[in-house]
Amino acid sequence: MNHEASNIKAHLVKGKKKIPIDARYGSRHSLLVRLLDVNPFVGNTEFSGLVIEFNGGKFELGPCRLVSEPSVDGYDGRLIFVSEVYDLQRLFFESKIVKLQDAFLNLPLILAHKDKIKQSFKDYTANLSYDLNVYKNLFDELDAEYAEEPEDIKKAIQKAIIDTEGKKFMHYLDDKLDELEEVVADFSKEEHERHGFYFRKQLWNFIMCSPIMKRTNLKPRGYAGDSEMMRMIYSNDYEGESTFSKLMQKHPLEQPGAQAVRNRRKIIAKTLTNIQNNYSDLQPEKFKVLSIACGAAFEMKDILLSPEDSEKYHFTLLDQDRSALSEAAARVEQIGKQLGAKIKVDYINASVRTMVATRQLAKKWGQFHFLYCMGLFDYLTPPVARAVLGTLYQLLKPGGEMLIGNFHISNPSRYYMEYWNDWVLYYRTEEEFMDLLRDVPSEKKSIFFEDTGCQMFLHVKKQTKEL
Amino acid sequence: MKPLIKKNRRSGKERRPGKDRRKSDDSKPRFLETDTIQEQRPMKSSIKLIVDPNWDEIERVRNESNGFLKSYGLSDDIVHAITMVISELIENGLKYGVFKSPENRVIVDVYIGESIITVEVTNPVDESTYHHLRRLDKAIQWIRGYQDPFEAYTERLKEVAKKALHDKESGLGLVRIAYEGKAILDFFVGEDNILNVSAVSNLEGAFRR
Repeated sequence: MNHEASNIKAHLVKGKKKIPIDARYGSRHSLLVRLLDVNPFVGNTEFSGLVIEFNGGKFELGPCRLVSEPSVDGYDGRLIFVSEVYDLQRLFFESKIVKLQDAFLNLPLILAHKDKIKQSFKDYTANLSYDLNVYKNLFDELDAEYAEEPEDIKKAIQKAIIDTEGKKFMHYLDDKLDELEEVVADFSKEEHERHGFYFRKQLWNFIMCSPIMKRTNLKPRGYAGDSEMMRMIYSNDYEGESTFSKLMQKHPLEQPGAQAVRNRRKIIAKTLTNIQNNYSDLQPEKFKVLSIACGAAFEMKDILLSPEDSEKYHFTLLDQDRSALSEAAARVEQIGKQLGAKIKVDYINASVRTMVATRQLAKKWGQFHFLYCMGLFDYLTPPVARAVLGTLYQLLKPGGEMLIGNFHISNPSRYYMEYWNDWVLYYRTEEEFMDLLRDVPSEKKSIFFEDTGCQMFLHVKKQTKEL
Repeated sequence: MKPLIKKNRRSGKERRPGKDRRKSDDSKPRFLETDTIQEQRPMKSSIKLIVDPNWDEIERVRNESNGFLKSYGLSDDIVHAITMVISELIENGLKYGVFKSPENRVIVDVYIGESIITVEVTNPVDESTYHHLRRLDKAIQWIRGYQDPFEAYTERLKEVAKKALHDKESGLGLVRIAYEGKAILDFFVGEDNILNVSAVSNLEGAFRR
């Protein structure tokens, strides 16, 4: 039933009187009404309530006022609510009573959440907030000074500012990160969580200045490490609308955690090429590669460097995010055009959490010479990681190899990621990472690190003969 | 293999050994094939509980798991929190499980490691419940998207306040596991369509003094 267009049975309440009306959706927060009896009311009459009946339900709404409007489609006027304000869109289309003021229901709970914040942390956050305000104002004022200059002059001036005062600001941020690490050094997991929440409430406006921090906090695709965020990490550039924004963007990108992500991309290409070199007699069969949680598959650019490369490989890219897969497909197509070659790629839109259920997955997808998975195990708890790893192992051909990435527990960018970016990973030690393989009868398994030491890689070779 | 990081790579400062308290699972597989609580010490570090698809079973399992957790010397707060986690996960299993034959049950496994405690609840599912799995996936990712589960909790409370009068699903259970149970949620569907939902909690300060 289209309640927006149709009239609904309702009555207004005034004292003990029930005044029958026809009501219709007027706007998200108002109703158009026609009084069914002789109209004894002038404009701006208040009523103690409104009762609406539709969809077999009876909805009692609070005090409202009739505002006369000159003949809107023959209606006597518009009802607006004077105490609790209702979302009529949700009432009419979802049969839900939602009040604007509902947003305040948790107010006492949220305000009380700050009671357990340590004074030393409050001091730290207040000082940081003060300083950032000062810096922001200064950079904004400078931006205003040269705003009227031609575009290329503006760029040159901004670069000069970034290279001078901007660099000093970055050093200031470095120092404040060191200080954060000291302040939270003895916190429990729960204290980290609570203080992180407080931190972001205090510094929200600054966080929103940085495109990458804005994205990791708001998570528009439901998770932090989406392909747009990966693009920002890889481009490692000054992005933002102002000098201050650009600096707030660049600073997290220069941290070891972000560098580790850039490093691992190179490691994938290098490892894959090395392993493929062992299969020189494979032709006409192609070297089969599976990328799990592939995202936008930026590393394809590093792997496919010549038309000959595209001849060698048959890729399968798997991700739960359709948008990321579309981006990956566009990238592959672009590389193919540049190389003048056809690249063999299959795309699978699936979640690793449910793919384990597929019986005989290897028969369905085939087996692979090499598979890799970056940026996924950082989110899997041990029971799930073990199950996924077991399934991935089955997808390897005998003698096939896999490379799995996981951030190490001593990631020095951890507090930056958690406090500023609201980005929490499941960290592991080498032993814990290796233990995920305890039920997997591999021929060789080892762990190595990329240059920053933030990220470790589990390299597994399957037994040549399956048991 | 490179050595463990000894220094903060940005500042060059030494990182204190043991500074990071969030060391994760060491829960070596000390599986005990039992479906009921056993004698007291020597302490068992795991328990398996079999739950018939019957709502009345929840109370029994609560009591048994409560006894097991207490026998391990865990503090009352942790015992209460983990018992709540177990109850919520069993409810979830009973609500969305598919119990077509007598051997279809909900199974609860609790493992206590050195630094974490893991609750795993499994139940059979089929294609008819896949829409629930998609919701579950989305909900877990959403909850884990917040550093502080409190944020997910208050957001969820706000949503609950807006729920339709006829809507019986509050959706608060998973959020309570994360916030009140202080647990990290995750799930997968194993072979033979067995849904495994797990909650991993930190054990820091979890023991009675």
